[in-house]
Amino acid sequence: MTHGIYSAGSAMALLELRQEITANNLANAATPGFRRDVLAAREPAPGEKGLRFGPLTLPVLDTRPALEGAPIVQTGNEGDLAISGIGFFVTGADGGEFLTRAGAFHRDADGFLVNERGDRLLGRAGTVRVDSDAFQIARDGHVVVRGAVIDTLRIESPAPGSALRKAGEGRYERPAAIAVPGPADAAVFQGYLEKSNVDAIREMISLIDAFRAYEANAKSIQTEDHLLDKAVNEVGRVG
Amino acid sequence: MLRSLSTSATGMIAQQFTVDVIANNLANVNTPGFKKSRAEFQDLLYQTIGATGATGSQQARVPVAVQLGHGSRLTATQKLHSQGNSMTTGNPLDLLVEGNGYFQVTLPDGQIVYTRDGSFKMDADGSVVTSDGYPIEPAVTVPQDASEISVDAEGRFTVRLPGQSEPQEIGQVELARFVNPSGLEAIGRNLYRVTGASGEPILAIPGQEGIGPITSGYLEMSNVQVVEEMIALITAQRAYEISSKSIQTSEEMLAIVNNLRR
Repeated sequence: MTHGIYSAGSAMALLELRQEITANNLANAATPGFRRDVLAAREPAPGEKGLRFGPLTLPVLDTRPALEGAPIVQTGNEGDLAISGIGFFVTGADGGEFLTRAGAFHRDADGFLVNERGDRLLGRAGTVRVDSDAFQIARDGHVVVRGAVIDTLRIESPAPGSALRKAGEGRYERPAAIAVPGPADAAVFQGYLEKSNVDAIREMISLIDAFRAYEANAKSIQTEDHLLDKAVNEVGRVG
Repeated sequence: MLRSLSTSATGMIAQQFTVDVIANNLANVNTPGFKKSRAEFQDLLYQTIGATGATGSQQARVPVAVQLGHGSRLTATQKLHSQGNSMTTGNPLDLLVEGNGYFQVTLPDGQIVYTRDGSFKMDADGSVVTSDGYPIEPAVTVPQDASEISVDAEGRFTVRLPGQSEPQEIGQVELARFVNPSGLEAIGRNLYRVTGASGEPILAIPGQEGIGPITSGYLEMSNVQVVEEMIALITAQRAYEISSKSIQTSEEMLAIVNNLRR
């Protein structure tokens, strides 16, 4: 009898989740290299355990970063790097290796290229250390100091079918299965910075859509409640 | 309660900081030797909830989980040490460094600090000082009866003294450069202090070892580009607005929940 209330309630719980993800996307609308999260829901496969909500089994939920590119703007700052196309920079920290699209690097006191966290940018020969103020990074990732190529930046992307998990602070956990995009698929631009790929219009529509669906489900709970009230208190009343 | 309330608030706070940084850049658009700052953001840590899936026995399924972000935060303001525009002044003590290099200045407590502001003056004793009266390092003193001060590309100060046919050298400035100039700490009055992040100063005479030559009679102005800052301002304002909209929506959702049971 109360099944309908649970249906509408579970929908409201999911819509809250969607709203929370939208809020995070919007809060990062100006975070360089940010990738918006997309919430996907599907029916549980046979044998798969879904989350329970009262008598109901909820759909299986999954968030994925949407990997489409973001606008790239010129900054003229020698440490700002942007990847046009697919792929991520690889940075090294105490916690291992991470992928990132946030390309605001600078030279630290020892000449290593680091980001604001202090994570070092990695090339094929290890950490990238430039001992000169004047260094160039070519489209193909070659690091050039005084005319000589000293290293090539590692540009990697997750292999098809493998999931990408966010580690926060602009980083992604480096999946076990990695693909290395060719020069035709990824070009490095020095002096440019990639913005966030959050599209304000899309997120605002999602916000309105989730809000109205939430409202509709609330109405349906109220209606169900009203019907129950009638059934319990008025059916069978005499006189 | 909805996490999105605090998530959106972090977005608004981050944008507020951006506007503060832009306001300071714009306020210094005509300050000689000023270097603009840039606010840098990151997304906050993610919470993984309801990790399900990957339990199906028949096929290997990609593990699924909902990752909920908690907004954004300001990580740092970075000083961008690009060259500012140059301005002709005709004053021989206005010095411009073309390229890398900072003037060294001695504070009253003996500490050496660094500046790109080359608008030097003479004090009552003939010492070459900054606009705030701090002497340049190595100190240069102009004799009382000297005339025709000039400074060459390598930072040599020469004057003409009465009774001498040749100009006399009275001192030479040394400039400092840093591995990571963005790591310098701005202490106000156009001055910077060495930090662990900037690395130790590397001293050389102008025009050598990666340090730029000096041009006398010119001033380096601020490297703030007004158009760039205005665009950043518009972007920050809109991003602020958009996060406030998601706070509003969350608030209305909570109101609906509160009205479920009347």
